[in-house]
Amino acid sequence: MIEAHQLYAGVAVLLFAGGLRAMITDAHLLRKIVALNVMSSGVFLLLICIARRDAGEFPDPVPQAMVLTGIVVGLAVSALAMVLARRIYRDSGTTTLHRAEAEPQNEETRK
Amino acid sequence: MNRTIVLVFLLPLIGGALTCIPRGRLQRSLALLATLATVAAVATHATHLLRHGGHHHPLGGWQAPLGINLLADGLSLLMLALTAVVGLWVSAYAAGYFSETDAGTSGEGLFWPLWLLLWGGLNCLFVSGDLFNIYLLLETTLIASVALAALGGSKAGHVSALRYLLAATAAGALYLLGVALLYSETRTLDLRLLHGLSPQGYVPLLALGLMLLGLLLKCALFPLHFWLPAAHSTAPAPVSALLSSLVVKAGFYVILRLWFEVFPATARAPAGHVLATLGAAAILWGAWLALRQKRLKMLIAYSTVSQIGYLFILFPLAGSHGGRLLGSTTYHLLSHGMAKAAMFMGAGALLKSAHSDLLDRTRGSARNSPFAVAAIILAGAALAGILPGGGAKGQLLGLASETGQWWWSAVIVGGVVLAAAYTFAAVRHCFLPATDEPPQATARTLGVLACLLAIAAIGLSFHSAIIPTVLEIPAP
Repeated sequence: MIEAHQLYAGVAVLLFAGGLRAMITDAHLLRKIVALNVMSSGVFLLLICIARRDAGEFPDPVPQAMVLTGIVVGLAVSALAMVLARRIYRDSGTTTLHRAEAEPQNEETRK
Repeated sequence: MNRTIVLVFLLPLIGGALTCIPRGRLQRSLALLATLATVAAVATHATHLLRHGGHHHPLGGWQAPLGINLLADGLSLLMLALTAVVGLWVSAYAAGYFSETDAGTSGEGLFWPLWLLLWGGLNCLFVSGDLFNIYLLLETTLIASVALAALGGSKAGHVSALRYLLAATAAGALYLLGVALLYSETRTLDLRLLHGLSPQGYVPLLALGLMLLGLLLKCALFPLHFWLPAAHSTAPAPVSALLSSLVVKAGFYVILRLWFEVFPATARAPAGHVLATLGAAAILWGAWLALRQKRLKMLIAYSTVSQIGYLFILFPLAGSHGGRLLGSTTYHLLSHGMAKAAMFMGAGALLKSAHSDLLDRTRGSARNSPFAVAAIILAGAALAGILPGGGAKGQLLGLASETGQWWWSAVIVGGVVLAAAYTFAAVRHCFLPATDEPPQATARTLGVLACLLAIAAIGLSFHSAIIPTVLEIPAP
């Protein structure tokens, strides 16, 4: 019989692995940014699951604090990544890093 | 109770917040004031540490495992000192670098707050004694580094900055997954408590593997260096100096902490050989690619890929010569930090007068910017380990042959020869006669500053004997 925390841990690992795979194979920048967030959601789920696993009356507060702080970090990183992705789209009209690099250098005229 | 350990990271953070407000002259003065204050705080901290020994500082009086400990020991002090020396020089250099660029396009207004935020993050990382805290500081420094790398404003700069951000954030997620697994076994994140527990079994081992993978990606060990050369070379020169000499070392510092303090020797023997093999590949592959570059800053960035490799030769040898070897590796880390910053500063000064990053556009620069060219040559000599007081590579060479693992010596010698060769390739065109339009003679102060830092890197070789002594200061 699988216990609840084992199920959650399994889902967490699947989320992390799926996010990592998409992060590596998907070229579209927006998909990469979403994949990063899926990866960190996997870690957060695992942390919550750890907090709950050995809980007596109350769950362990330390992993919960880590999740809260981690969400803030993820928000900041996603925002910065989206700003850069928008700049790249504006400058080169493409949504992947490879095509943006292949574009002819038109930034000299823009500056 | 010594509280200067808090000022070491609080002062640059306050400076970073204050420099967000004004622009122009006032902002630059504030930033330089914050720089001096931070250096003074690090010096006070160092004096206290050397006189009274290391200590732990529980933040807010809360003891671990509930609270977060700051730690002051020899390794942390050396990292703070490197950051202070390079930071002082970069601040002085940046004040000159940006004032000579046309106002408005230079990005100076954003440089100062981001750089001070980065400095605060690095200093806090080097005194942090908590694994999750280290994760947060790695991400803080990452955000500042990426924003700095994108400061140039070119499309190539944005692309390389975003690639850097994506790679390093994925690395952060791997590290955090490792931290979560380790916590589930040990119920603590405090380095000192973990050292006492010396976790064993397959879950902690998996945790170590994940954390290591994340950190290797952050410090760009071959073959995970793909993001580094473009990100470090498209940034403005002061930023390149910071990224290459300080930021990549932060990841390595955390690896040292994990390797020598958290995990027992049995867990790491085979992994050590893997790390050193990757390091050897990095030394040769990075140096070979550096030789083949057509752009000066790209060449220097590939040299960083190569020099990072030397840090990892440490691991399979550490079993028998732990103390001395850690001393030599730390010496290499400090020496490379100073020399690489000097090299990028020299390159920045050269680039300003030649108006191009292409190597063959620097013809005639030796006559017009002698100090910048001298800085690159002196820094290159330091990177190749040609130091009058004895270089770190010589020490590593000796230790490798003492332990009977002679194959590492072959790699080190090969890397030294290639380093001399790519330094030659970097400055070769400067000595050729100028063709049509000779480079303008500008930016003399920048060249002199770079030259002084390169001389300081060489001067360090006469005092390298104190590094192992300082490293032995523990935090009880």
